[in-house]
Amino acid sequence: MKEFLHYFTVFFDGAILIYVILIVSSYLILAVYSAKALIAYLQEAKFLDSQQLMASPLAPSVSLIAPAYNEANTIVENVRSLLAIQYPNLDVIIVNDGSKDNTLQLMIDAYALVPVFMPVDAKIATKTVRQVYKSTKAVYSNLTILDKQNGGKADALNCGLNYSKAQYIACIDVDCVLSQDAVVKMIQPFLSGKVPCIAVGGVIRIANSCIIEDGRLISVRMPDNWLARFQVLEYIRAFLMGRMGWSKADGLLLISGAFGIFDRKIALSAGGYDHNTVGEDMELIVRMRRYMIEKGLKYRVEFIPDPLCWTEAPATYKVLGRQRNRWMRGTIETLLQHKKMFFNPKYKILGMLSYPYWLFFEWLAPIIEIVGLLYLLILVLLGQPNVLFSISMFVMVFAFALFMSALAILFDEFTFFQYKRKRDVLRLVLVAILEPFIHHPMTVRWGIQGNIDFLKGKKSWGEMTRAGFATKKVNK
Amino acid sequence: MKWLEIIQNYLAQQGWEIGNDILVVWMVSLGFVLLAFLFVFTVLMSRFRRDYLAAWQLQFENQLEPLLLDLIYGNQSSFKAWRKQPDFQSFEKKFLKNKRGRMTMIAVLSRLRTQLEGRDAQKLELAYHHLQLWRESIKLLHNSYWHKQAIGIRQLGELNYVAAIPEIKRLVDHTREEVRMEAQLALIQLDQRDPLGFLDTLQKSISLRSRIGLYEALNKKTGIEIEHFAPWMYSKNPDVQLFAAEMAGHFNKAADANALLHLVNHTNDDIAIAAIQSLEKLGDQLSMQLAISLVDINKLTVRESLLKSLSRIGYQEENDWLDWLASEHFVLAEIAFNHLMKYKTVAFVEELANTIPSNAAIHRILEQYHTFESAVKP
Repeated sequence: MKEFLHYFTVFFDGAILIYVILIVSSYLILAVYSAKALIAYLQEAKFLDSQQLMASPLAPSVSLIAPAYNEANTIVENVRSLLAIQYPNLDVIIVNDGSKDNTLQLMIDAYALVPVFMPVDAKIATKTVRQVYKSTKAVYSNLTILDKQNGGKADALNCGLNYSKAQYIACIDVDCVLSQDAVVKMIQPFLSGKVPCIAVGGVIRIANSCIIEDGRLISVRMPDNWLARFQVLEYIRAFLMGRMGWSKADGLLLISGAFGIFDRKIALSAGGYDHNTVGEDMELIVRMRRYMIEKGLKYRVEFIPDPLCWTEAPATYKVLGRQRNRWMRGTIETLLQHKKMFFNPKYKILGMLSYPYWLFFEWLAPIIEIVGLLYLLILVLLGQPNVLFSISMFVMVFAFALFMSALAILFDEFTFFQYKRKRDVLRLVLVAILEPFIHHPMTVRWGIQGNIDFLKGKKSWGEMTRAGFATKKVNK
Repeated sequence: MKWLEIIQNYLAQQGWEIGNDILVVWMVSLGFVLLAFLFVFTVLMSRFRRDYLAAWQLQFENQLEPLLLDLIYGNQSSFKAWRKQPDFQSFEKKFLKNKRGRMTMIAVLSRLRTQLEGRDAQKLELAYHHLQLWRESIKLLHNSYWHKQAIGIRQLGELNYVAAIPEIKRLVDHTREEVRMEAQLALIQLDQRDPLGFLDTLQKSISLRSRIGLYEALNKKTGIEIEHFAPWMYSKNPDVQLFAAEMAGHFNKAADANALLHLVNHTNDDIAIAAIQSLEKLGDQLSMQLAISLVDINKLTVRESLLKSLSRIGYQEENDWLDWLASEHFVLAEIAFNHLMKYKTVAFVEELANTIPSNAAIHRILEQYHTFESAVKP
């Protein structure tokens, strides 16, 4: 027994060490890639002239598709904010996904909508569209409302895809605040480069406590709520270091559902959004990439680090837990649906690096972390001599987390400099120190719960209650 | 390693027997923490640097503003007289002796130059030329970083330094798209004789972004009229053909209609579509009618574009529209349906649909139409 325990601990220590080395080195490599990508982006951005595009008849057409479900409190303002987005060839498609409240009626009244006939060659099957509405007022001529039976977010987005006639579709969450030049900036990768771009993802930032008026972001503030602050740091790390790095390595597997632009024809050819998963955003981009590779077509997927899309982060652990649970289930569903890619050289970086990364460091990470903690506990209870090594490994992981968070703050400082007040930076540093003890254990718990719910076959989104920006106005 | 042993010995003296593996992990952890503090320190230092630079910039602009106002609107007899005034002398001594000052001066002049026109703009160009600030821009052209080269080109173009044309011409086929675009834009700005001459020999691609930039530059350019774009429609570079086809329509070059017609059945769909759209902009009904027979029946996207253009110009040949209405391609039948509904009744379309095989797209469209009608009827 004693010998077995010895070999078991040697094996387990080795496994943990290898896992830690792999995760640390992959994060470091991603950080280096991100730094390179950010520097390159900032250099290229000096030569982007938004005004030229704004005035140009050559600007490609873009449809902004926003699904709405029971958004009566904010829909009129949100649509107004979308209509105010500056782009010369833009149409806005709001998909009322069978709202049970008076979302549709409010839009009809506010925008003078009337039913119109619009033939559609539905390439993707969706729930029935009850009516298509257009405005009688010329000023809203680029607004289309699709009223359909409830079918979920993916179904609503597919419906918008079917009706859009534009070259590109921008899929957004209707409650997000987009900066007015969001589309102008996000469309840029489609305008250049010899290899066609099929999708562009954007950074999502936390809008809690920010000053927002008439659907426009006026001033960026650090959230008052600590939970939202943790998410600020998480988002900076995830977007500026993670996705930027993956984009540079041509291995990006996720464009956030809150804001992304896609080539409409490719999205349609790939089959549109999958309504059988709660991670429809990740699933679509994986399937689009697979489609291009399997067809032998050259393509690019890009990521724009500008802070263009602002969203209200969950401000309670209950709501955040539901969100993270759903993200975990979405990740698992997508990875299982595309398991063919796992270490498959045909899919190059996607199969050999991105997929294994998501599998081991996103899906399995909370499980491995819990197993590691249990192992440490057993060692302590058994009074094993190598307990110090395991504790040391945990200390190193904490130190590394601190290092990565500080690096993320540095990246933000030297790129988009969002938090201008010095005290906000100090708050972020404090968040970085506290996060591993307060926030991280909760994310591990939600990750585990997501795994359990996936095994139970749970498919629901979970209610996302938000305070709404309208009640969040802060006076200067 | 020796230093590991030293630490181990020290810890052993304190009663801590620690193995190499654990010590390495501790050292690495300490390294991460120290680096984290270094990053935070750098962030805070950068704030101070930012504040310092902002204050410097403010001081620079505060001193420069009255001098530039005097240059543009004042009554100095010549540039030399303006330069000799004591205020400018002290400004030059304080700011223009170092590179940062000169580069900031160029940036300010460039910014103002884009906002002014005529003689006022020329005075700013004069300052750039006489203060020999162009030397900084030329130096940038020879820099090994592409973004520095592109900035140099932009400065020379915006501040109208014509002598740099030969140097800039060398860069129109640069490997970086941004440099190519800046060089092409600068040549449109600087080369009064042949602003689009670079298209004759261009080897590299012209992206949509560059085409947007070039269109804007041509649109803003005053005093020079590009006679026609037809010669470039026969270029060996398909991007040059595409650009020429687009510009012929935007600048309303009716004389280019024949060359455009030659492109409507181009193997590259983008070029064919651009040619059709330009013919539409020219309002050339006859060429559009000819295009119907020229466009390959299998090129769906080109035909779609052609039908949309025909609908927009109000093409009236009813038999053609009825043919398209019977198309098995939904999008073509949809355009024809929408077009006919402007002039005819749904009963007319329905009567025709009954003579077409049931798998034609028009039957689906009519079915959707009836569903719509029954839904909106009170």
